[in-house]
Amino acid sequence: MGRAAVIPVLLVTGFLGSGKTTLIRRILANPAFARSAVIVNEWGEIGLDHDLIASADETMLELSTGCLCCRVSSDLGRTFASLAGKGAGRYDRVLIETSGLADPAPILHGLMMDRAIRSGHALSSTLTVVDARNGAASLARHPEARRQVAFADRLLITKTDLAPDTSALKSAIAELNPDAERLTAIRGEIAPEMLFAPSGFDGARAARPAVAAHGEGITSSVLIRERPVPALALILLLQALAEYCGRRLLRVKGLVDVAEQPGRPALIHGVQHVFEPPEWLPAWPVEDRRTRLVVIGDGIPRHFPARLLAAIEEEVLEDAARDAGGVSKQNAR
Amino acid sequence: MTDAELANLLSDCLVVWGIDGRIVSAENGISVHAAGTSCTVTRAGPERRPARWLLQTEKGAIAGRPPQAAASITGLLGGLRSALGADAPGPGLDVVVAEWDGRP
Repeated sequence: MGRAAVIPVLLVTGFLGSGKTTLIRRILANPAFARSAVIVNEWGEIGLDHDLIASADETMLELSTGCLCCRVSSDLGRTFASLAGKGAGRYDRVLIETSGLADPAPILHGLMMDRAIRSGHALSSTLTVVDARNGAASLARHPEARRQVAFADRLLITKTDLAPDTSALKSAIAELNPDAERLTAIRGEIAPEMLFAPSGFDGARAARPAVAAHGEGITSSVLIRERPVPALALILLLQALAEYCGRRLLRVKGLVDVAEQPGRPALIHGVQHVFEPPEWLPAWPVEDRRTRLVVIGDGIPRHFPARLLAAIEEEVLEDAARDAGGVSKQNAR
Repeated sequence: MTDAELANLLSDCLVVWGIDGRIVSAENGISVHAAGTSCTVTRAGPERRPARWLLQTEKGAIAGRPPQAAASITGLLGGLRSALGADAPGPGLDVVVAEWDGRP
């Protein structure tokens, strides 16, 4: 018995006025993407985005009860149930547009944890839209904008026709989320296939030297290990990060060379304390076979993940060596 | 792990836990002064295995209680966090249960 086909879900987030609705309208205008269900979350009494997006009624749902991220556990599940009922068989993918002030974390938790949602749908990737003209200022002033960038698998820089020089914005983005793939679009013009492709992990981006912290807020660090990491050390590291860092931990993503599975890197993907099961890739996607783990946090010291792993790994290896010595002695008797 | 490496890790932990404090070298270990109290971390000798670390709190020392033993660095940090009265620990690791696809 194979796994039933799952419908990909693209989470589109981004700060107020960044161009999310324009992008979604362009996607839906593409005949190949017409069979898309859209969930729009609006913040305010009158939902304008809903009216701006043309779609079949059965596959267009508006959530105007407040910010989706605040009610995600109940509303998102109900919304998907409604979609599966009214729009069953009428859509091939789902787009979720969050409000401009939404924190993506609870929405991602809902998509990852809700069994009803997961039974027929799977998160494809998180796309954060950033406005080239106002994006850098938004990132500097609004923690919501920084968190949206921090959680992104892909970043779409819009309105580059209005602000061609994006160097400052790209620098700010790189500080927050060095691993995210970066794309650009003017008035939402981009091949939708690029947005729906499952998000992987780019070793080259993650192998870049760590950059400076973004003030005292969100920081990203890249943990690089030359030698394979024992599976137990990896589990203990993730447990410790989740427990010690709590809400400070935003995102963990990377490829790990697990000692017990040589040649088959584990793709790790976590949103705060919630982690997908590791995906064991059949082979390394790039020549660089070092472990590279990106840890994005709010106020987590840059070297903390690496120092913690080093301390844990030392003990795990010491225990393994002691156990091996004990077995050797028993066998020698 | 050297004392300097341990001191760096403990210093990072204070930041993560949102506690102002300082880490100083002490006789046979490292002292953590924070949250109006102090704790001392020392390494357990081989005769104490499986314990690796010993954590003595200020209150414990005054009361003449033996230090708390921890078998791992994560156990030590958990004990230190509790001793310093940091916020409740995070929710802990939550791994999504994968749907079984029927394959062995």
